[in-house]
Amino acid sequence: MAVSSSAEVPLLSIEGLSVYYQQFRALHGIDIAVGQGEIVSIIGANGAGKSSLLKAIVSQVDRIEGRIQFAGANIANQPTPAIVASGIALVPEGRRLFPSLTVEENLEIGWQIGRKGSGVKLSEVFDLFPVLREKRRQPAWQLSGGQQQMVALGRALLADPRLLLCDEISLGLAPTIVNDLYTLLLSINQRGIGIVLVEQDIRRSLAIANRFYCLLEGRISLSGKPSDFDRDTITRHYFGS
Amino acid sequence: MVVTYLNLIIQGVLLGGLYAIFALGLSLSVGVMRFVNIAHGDFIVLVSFLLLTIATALHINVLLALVLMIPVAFGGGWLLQRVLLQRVIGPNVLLPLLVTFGLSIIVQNGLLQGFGADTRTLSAGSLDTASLHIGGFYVGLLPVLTFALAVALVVGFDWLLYRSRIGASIRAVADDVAAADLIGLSSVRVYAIAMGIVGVTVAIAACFMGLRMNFDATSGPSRLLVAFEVVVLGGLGSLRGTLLGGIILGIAQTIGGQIDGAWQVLAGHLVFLVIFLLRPQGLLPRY
Repeated sequence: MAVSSSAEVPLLSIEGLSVYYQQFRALHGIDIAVGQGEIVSIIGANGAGKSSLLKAIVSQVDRIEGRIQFAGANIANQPTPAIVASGIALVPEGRRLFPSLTVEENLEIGWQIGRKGSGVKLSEVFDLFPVLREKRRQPAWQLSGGQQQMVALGRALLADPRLLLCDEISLGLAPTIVNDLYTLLLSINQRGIGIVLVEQDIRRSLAIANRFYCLLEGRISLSGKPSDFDRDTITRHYFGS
Repeated sequence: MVVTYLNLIIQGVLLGGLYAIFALGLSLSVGVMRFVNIAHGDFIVLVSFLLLTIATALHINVLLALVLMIPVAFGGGWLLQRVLLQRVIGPNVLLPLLVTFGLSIIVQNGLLQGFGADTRTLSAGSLDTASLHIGGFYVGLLPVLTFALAVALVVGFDWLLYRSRIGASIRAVADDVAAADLIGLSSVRVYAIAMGIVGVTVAIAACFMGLRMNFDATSGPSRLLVAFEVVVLGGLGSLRGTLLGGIILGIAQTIGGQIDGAWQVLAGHLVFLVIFLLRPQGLLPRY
C-alpha cells in the first residue's frame, strides 16, 4: 500500500531543506518524502538533526532554506497554527502537556488547533486509550509518563491530522508501555494517517516503518526499506563509523 | 453598638464588591497570565473619563455608555497586547513592569492634559441616591447592585476561565508558552483575547468606581494598590479569592473609618499586612 501511494504525489515532500539556528546549521539540504498513509522512520544519533527536521516542518526553527510541500501546497515558513490546521499534528518530544489542565482539557486543545470540522470525537480517543476516560477530570501532571504520552498522542489525533509527527514518543517509558504505544500507532496508521517517527531506539521504529531515513550530522546517510539492509549496515550509517 | 457594627460590616461587604471588581482584571493578568500591569489603575481612571465624556456628549445614562464602552474596551485591550505588551512578554519579568510603569505615567499626564486636575464623579441619575430598607438597615441601591454585579462577574469569569474552551487555552498558554506555540496554539492570539477580557473588566470597574468615588487624573496608583492587596489577599489565580479579598479589605476600611476618619485607608493596609504575614499564599490560592 505504502509503496504504490508514494509513487503518486507524496503527502509531504521536502527538497533541499537546511535548518539554521543563528550561526549553527543543523540540517544540510536534505530531501525527504512521505506518502499517503505511509509510516516513515527517521533514525539517527543524538544531535543528528531529527528533531530539527520535525520542528522545521511545523515552522518552529529560526530559519530554513529549501522547499516543504504538504498535500500539494507550500508550507515552508507558514505560521505554525496554519500548518497544524492544514493537517499536520506534532507529538512533541517530552510530551509537553499543559500540567494544570485536566486530561480532557488537554485533549480538547487538539480540537482548537486542528483541521476545522474535525471528525475525530473525544470518545474515539477514549476508546483508543480507555485509561484516560477514567482520568479525564484529573490534571495532567498527576498522570504517569505513559499516560501523559497517550494524552499527547490523543491531543494530536483530535487535531484530525493527515500526517502525524512523533518525536521520541518512547523516551523514558517502560518497554511494555512502548509496545502498547506502537500497537496504537499501527491502528492510527490504519485510518490512513501518515506517520513520521523520530526515534533513537531504532529497533522498534524500523519494525513498523515502511521506509526509513538515517540522519548523520545533518545529512541523510542511508534511506530505503528497513528490510533492504542488514543490521550492521544500518548501525554503520547510524554512527558514521 | 451591635447594630452599628453589623451595619458597618454590611457597608464593608458592599464596598468589598466594588474592590473585587477593581481587582478582577488584575487577578486575571497577574494570577493567570503571570504578567503585572502597573497601569491597571490608570486604565480604570482613563475609562472613567471616557465614560464621562461619552455620557455627556451623547446625553445618555452612564450605564448605557458602559454598554457602548464594553466592545471598545475589549478591542483596546486586544490591541494594546498585540501592538505593545506582546513585545515585552517573556522570561524577563522586569520588561512588562517597566513598560506598564511608563504607560501609567503617560496615561496620568495625558489625562491631566486633556481633562485638567479637577476631581470628577459619574452619575447614573436617581440610582445614585436610591436606597433600600432591609430588616432595619438602610443600604444604598447602587452598592447593592455593585455587589451583586461583583458576585455575578466572579461566577461568570470563573466559568469562562475554568469551564470554557477559551479559558482552557488561556491557562494552557499560562502553563507553557513554548509548548503552546510548538503544537500550533498561537500564544499571541490567546494573550490578545485574554487582555481583551481584562479590558472588559476595566470598563466595568471604571463605571462603578466613578459612580461611587471621586476620581481625578492621578487616582490610578491608589486604585492599583487596592487591587493588588485584594488579589494577593485572595490568592493568585483564584477569582473567588479575589471577591473574598475585596470583602475583607472593604470591611477593614469601613470599620477603620468608623474609629477615626484617618484610619480608613490605614486599617485596610494593616489588615492586609497581618493576613499576608500569616498566610502569604492568600486565602483561597489556586496554585
